[in-house]
Parts: sequence; C-alpha cells; structure tokens
Amino acid sequence: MATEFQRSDRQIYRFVAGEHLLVDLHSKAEAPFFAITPSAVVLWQELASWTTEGRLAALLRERYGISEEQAVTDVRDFLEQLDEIAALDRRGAGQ
Amino acid sequence: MPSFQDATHDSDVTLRYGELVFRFTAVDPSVRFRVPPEYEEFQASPDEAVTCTVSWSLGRIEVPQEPAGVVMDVWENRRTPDGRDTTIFFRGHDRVPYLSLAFEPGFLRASVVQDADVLGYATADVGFYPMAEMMACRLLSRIGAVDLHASTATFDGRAYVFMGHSGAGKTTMSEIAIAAGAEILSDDRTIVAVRNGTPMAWGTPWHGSGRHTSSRIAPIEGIFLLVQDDHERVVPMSPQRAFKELYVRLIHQKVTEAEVADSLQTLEDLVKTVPVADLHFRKVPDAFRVALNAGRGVRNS
Repeated sequence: MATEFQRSDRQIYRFVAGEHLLVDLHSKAEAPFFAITPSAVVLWQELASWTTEGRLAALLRERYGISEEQAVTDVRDFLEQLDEIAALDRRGAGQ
Repeated sequence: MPSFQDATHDSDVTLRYGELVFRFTAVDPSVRFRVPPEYEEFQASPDEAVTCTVSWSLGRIEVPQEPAGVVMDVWENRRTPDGRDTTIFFRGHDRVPYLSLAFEPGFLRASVVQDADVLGYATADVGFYPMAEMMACRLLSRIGAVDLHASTATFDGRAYVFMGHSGAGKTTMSEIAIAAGAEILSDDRTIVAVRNGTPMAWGTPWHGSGRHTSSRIAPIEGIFLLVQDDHERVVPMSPQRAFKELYVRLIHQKVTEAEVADSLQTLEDLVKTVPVADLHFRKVPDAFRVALNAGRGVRNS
C-alpha cells in the first residue's frame, strides 16, 4: 500500500489580497505564514482527505497539462515543504 | 481565611467592551465582585442586552480528563465532548490551578470558578488578568471584531491606531498624541472592526504603562506600525503585508480554528477599508502630526 498523505489541522488556508497563505494556528513564530502557489492550493485542497503522491501528481497533470515527471517533482517538493512546517500527516508504507 | 476587603460590589456587575456586554452574576452570597478602577468606565446598565452571562462561584478547580488542545505558560484550553470550552489558569512553577472559565456551547453563558485558597483571597475580580481580556477576545471573533496590540489616539473625532509589540512605542506615541491635543482610547489594546463599511476603533480597559483607557469609539483614519527611527516618515504598506502585521498583533484569538478563521476574515475586511502604513518616528511632538497628515492625505485623496 502506498504512503498516504493528509494535511494537518495546524494550518488554515486563506487567499488574502492576491496572496495564497497557509496560516499556522498555533505557531509562536513572529511570522506564522507560508505563501503557496495556485497549483499548491489545488494540492492543499486535495489533501483535505487521505491521498497518495500518485493521485496528487495525476491531479496536477490534469489541471495544468504538465509532464508526469514534472508533476511528481512538484508534488514531492510541496510535500517536503509541508513537512518542514509540520503541516502533513502520513500513514501506510514508507511513512 | 480568604478576605473580601477589596470587594466593591455585592451584586451583579455588567461590563461593556466595544459591542460586547458581559453580565457577571454571583452563584451564591459568598461571591462579592471587585471592579478595578480602570474597568469602572466600562460598567454598563443592567438593562443592556447581554452577549454572555458569566456565573461566578468559589471552589476547587477540577481539571477535565481530556488532554488540553492548547497549552500556554499560564493557561490551557480544552474542548470536551459535551461542547464546553474550558480554560484553566495556573500560577507558579508547579502550575497550581486557581481559576477556570468554561463557556457553554454557543458562548452565551459561561461559568467561572475561583479557588480562593490558592489565590489567598475570595474577591471576584472581574478584571482578572489574563482571563478578563481572553473572555472578551473569545467573543469578539464571533462578532467580527478583534483586539489588537495597539494604542489609539483620537483627534477631531477620528482614530489613529498605532500597533506594535511591547517596547515599540505605543505608550510613547500616546504621550506625544496627548501633547498634541489628542485623547487616548487605550495605550496598549484596541478593539477594531468594520461596521457598515467603516473601520471602527473602541477603547479598552487593558492599558500599557501610561494607564490610558477609555470606553469611547471612533472611526479609524489610519493604522500605523510603529518603527523607531531617526526621522519621521510614513511608508504605506501593501495589503498583503498589512494583513500579516495585523495578524501577529492579535490578542488571544488563536484558541480554536474557527476563532482564527473569524479573526482572519475581520483583518481581511480591515485592510480593504483602512490604510495601513509604517510610521517611522522619533520621540518628538511632530511624530503624531505626521500620522495626522498621512491620515488626512488619504481621506482627501
């Protein structure tokens, strides 16, 4: 079974004055914001429920018509970034 | 034996912060309220429509079994399956609970339990820090308002909001503004909201070292982030940055996701309706004039 991912409930998404933001609810940091791209918003919304890297990449390919290689790279980059801000939960193999 | 020597009220107390009205009621005659001097101006008529009724009793604090959702240095919050939202306040290194604040679902009613033995006195102080302000903040988010770490001066009926963390110069700017003929709504905390398209500021009893408080209200002319510098100038802020600078100066409204979402919405509305700028200043009388002129310039443009 492939590893599945889901966004954590530590952050909420807002679109403010033309900027896509994840806001950390419990951060004590001076700037608890993480700006994301429109394509990352698509992934963030999909991550509301458990999903796989493959499904996320397929979603990007479908939305933006990019290559599979590019889609997988973009998904991995975004998941890594979410990990860095503790915004990702995972379950299953290789978690 | 815990004493009541500071008690000033032996009946219900009604307080208004901005558009919120809290009625404090004693569960039994053992509870006698104290209204601190800085809260006296915020007392409201018992006939006012109440936002939240707070029943106050004395007794042991029972910490719920459920793990806390939010844990801070001096308080922790948990929501129990029955929908109650309970914050317990602690004192000392060994975190002895001395006060609990439990909101019923809907936040129309709340109950406070005070451990007089731990505190050493039985007077029910409606200004308990930080409970009093937190209580207000939890409700403010629900009515589309926020409590900002900001001082506010009014001049010609318009409000000039100066935000900044501790040490930024909020009280200093208040003193400068007073010298220029302004009045102060608060030198540390300001309630703000957008009403009918107009940004509004309310004074609070929560003050800084200047101890300036007021229950008055005024439409906001401009919001300024205080930046101590070697000369005066105003630098307009982008809405994106304004939103972030305001967010990190919110007080106590980050307990639940819903409260954060409500507060973010209020800030989004705010940055659409009021100019926000960096105010570089020295501690000189001209500093407030620069803010006044910046606000007027925006209004007249």
